[in-house]
Amino acid sequence: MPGAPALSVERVSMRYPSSSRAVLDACSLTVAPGERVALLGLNGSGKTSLLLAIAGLVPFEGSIAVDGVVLSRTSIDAVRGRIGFLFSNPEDQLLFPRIRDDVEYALVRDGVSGEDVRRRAGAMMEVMGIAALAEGSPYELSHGQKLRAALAGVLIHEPPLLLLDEPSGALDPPGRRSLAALLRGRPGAMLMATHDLEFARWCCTRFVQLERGRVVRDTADPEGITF
Amino acid sequence: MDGVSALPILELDPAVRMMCGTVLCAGVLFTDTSHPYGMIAAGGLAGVALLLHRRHHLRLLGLVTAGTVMYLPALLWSSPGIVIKGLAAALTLMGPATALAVQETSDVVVRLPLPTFLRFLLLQVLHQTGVLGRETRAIHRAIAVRGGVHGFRGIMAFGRALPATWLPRIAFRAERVALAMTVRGYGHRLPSVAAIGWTRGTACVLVCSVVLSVLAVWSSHWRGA
Repeated sequence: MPGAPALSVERVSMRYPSSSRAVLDACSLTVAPGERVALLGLNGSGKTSLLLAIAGLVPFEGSIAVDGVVLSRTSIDAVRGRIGFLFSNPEDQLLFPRIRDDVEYALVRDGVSGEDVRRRAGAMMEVMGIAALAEGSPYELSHGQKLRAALAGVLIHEPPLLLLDEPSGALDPPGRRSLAALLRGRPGAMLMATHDLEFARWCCTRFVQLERGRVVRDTADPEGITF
Repeated sequence: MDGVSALPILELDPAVRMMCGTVLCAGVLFTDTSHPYGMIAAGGLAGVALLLHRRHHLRLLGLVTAGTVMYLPALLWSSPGIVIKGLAAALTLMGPATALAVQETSDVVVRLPLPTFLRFLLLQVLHQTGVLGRETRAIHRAIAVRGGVHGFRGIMAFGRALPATWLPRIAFRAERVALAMTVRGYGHRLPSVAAIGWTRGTACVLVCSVVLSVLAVWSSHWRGA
């Protein structure tokens, strides 16, 4: 929606049924279109829970809007159509026995014609450096290749908002650098949960720190951030 | 041996391999094994299954043996006809499963004449089975490094540890995969697969499987009449 923020989170709270402690506690955050934001914090600070809430995967109190569409039961498919989600373990989201099928999937779901699907998937796999693996199985890939394949499947439909959960975990230094370059070159907005401060500096222009489910710092300068 | 890989039975299309296995298994199930001729016929079909999947004899026999061990006391008290029928059915049924890689089996599932949602479900089950298979090997390696898995006692220790380590993994993985499926809107299109590559050889193998199965059923009932 033109003019609307890519993401608006207003006083979002949530707790898991098994726990008495609030995972998110009146958390508020806005991400402008094209803005790249790092969501920093220790393990258990609520980063992943916030991403899951934005994708409508866990119940919460408060209000979330993606690209101007307020998340509700009736709008949930429209919201999910506007986000791309990269889970912390890319293996979990590679759902097809062939990498090409997995990358093409979001376009097919959106009703893009067959020839266009092939062309765009081919171009995306080329950008991601996995074109040679297109006909192979996800089982045969290294962690870095799985991550690239999963990211290709997420980015192919050019979502206005990209949600990334610990994308640099288990990547080697060259892999981290090339992933950072790839994310920097992408036009849409991005919210990246990580505790890898160096990687966040490479990719993002804004740094939001979570502590016990609350935003405790929101800054363009990551220098003062410590865990 | 040179030239062996060129034999059609070793280069069968996965779908044809599955069809042959199903036909042979059906043949065994309909064969009357209450008399020696029927037992020979059922055994013959099991032999054909072993020939068909002969690259994987050990895996197949191991799987059938493992499946049989728990029923051993019952087998000892059963009639030979029932035992032979059961073993032959297991061999013919498990043959394709042991001979196909997970990806090949997925290709077959996509082609099966089943409702689409069921094919989606089976496809995902197979896909995750492959992932869990690799995790099982990882667990085995971890146990080997931390405690040592040697000989029979080691295998038993590994077997006892599996429910505590493997099942929670399955549960957590299932939850994470379900989230990913939800976000990605899984269920819109089955993957593309190549059509069955029919050759004279593969067609011949399938026809032979059908003919042998029909012959086995017919001869067992004819002799028994």
